[in-house]
Amino acid sequence: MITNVFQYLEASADRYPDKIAFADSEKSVSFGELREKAYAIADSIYEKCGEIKNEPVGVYMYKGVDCLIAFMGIVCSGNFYSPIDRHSPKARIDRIVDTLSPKAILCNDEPFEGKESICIDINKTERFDRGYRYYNDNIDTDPLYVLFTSGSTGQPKGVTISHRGVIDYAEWLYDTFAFDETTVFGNQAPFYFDNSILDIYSTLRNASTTYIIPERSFTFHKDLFAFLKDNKINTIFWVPSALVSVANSGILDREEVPKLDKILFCGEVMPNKQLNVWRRHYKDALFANLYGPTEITDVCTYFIVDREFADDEPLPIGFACKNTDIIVLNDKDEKVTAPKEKGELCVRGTCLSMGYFKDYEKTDKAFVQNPLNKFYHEMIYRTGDIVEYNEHGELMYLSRKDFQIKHQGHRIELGEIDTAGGSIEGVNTCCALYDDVNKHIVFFYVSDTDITDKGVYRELKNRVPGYMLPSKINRLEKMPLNINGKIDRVYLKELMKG
Amino acid sequence: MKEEITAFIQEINEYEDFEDDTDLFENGILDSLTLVLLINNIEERLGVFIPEEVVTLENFATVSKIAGMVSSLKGE
Repeated sequence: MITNVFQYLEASADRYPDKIAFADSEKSVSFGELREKAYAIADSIYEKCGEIKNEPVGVYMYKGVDCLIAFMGIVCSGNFYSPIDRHSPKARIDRIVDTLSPKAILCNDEPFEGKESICIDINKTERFDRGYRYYNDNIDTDPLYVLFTSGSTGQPKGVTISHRGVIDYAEWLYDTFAFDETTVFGNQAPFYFDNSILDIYSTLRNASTTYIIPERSFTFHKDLFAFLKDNKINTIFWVPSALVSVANSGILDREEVPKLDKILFCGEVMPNKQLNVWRRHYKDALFANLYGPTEITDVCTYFIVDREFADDEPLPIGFACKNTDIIVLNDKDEKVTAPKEKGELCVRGTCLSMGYFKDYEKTDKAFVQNPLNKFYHEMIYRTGDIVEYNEHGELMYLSRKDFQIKHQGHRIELGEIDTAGGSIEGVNTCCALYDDVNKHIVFFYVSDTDITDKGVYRELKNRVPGYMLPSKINRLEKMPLNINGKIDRVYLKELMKG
Repeated sequence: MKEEITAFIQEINEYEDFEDDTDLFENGILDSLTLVLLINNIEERLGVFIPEEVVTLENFATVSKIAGMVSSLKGE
């Protein structure tokens, strides 16, 4: 009975001890070594922190094989992990660590400076050989990881996911895409982004291999093609921005393309214009559009691209995954089934997260009793995504209900930028908006000091990750307000159009 | 040539300060999307075709390196 993802690793390590599980451009780890190192880390956690169970442990490392070794060590110890994005500004990292309050933080080259938590260098751990499986008495509803996503009040939200959610997902992926030991994934997703769950846990479950593609290769596509070819990668699951940037660069037309069998994507809307460029070059490959927020364990609907689409047609997000139910609710909380009727996409199933770490208030707003069920306790997750069914009965994504945006594949709450901007000395009020036409963030502010647009940009850069930085900054005499006294976003949108 | 490259990058991101030898990628001044814009600008406005082989981090890391590469492509 599978109740813990570590059992996937145990089984693959028994079957293929010497096969490479994960590799980056510097090192690789086999299934056998991964298991061995995980046990050593678990021993060290136990040595340094005492008998802890179901406690948070942070991972403070740049992306690489070491992160995955750390994740498995934490899982083996019976605790749960949370990756901390080292590229984030210090202030944001501190807020995340403050919320997480980890019992220990695992690192490799550089220790974590900050709160007094125990820092463990994973390259200095040793196996004590207790012959005890720490995770043995975990149950499948115990947490596996916490991923922090942008929060509207400026405080990132820690989405907490159980073993059960990931096992449900990995089993569905296997049934649907038939990954096996011949599958070689080319990983693009950062580990703080839940798209990486597909690569990591499919590899562990099916004894596949994952190569972590250097981030720079997504800018320099010649390197990307060389990396895919050299490592015989046959399956990719990337954010659409990465596929779009390859298509736009023209390299698919100019170079011999790497051999790929399965091309999957998720994280934002995939435009058919660029997808068609890929499809022209990969006539026999399987293309699948996956959809889902972090709160439901990465993916809850999917669409296997099985017909032609014009460049300007939208791509469906398709149908619910097996063992997941999608309910579209209109603003009266009634179920929508007819085509072309708008409603909010809500999700029911094992995939549901356990909510936001230490934030019951936000959890209770998004995870609610199913309004269609009057008989027993049953949670649904309200995604905030507005969708409709098309004439084929396929789900189509339309828009957001709130101020959340997707920018270059990143999920951003504009409120997080507002909060960061509002904290800059000299900025009285501010408002961040998304320009859908030019695909960039615009920042409006009011000040009575001599702070410049450049100065505002510099301050923002110290407060938010690079992908949240505005491309346009506009200083206003005063902030326009609507009749309710709130910032008039409609008027600002007009200003944005120029 | 350096002035022209600097001007193109400033058009793409008007709020960043950088010198001729600032690492443009390390400091988040350019990324995969803006690199395509820069290359288009160089090709269209300087009349130089940038072949795939030269689009590498080594050639695009700084303003000086980009300028040097474009000059040599122009045969200057």
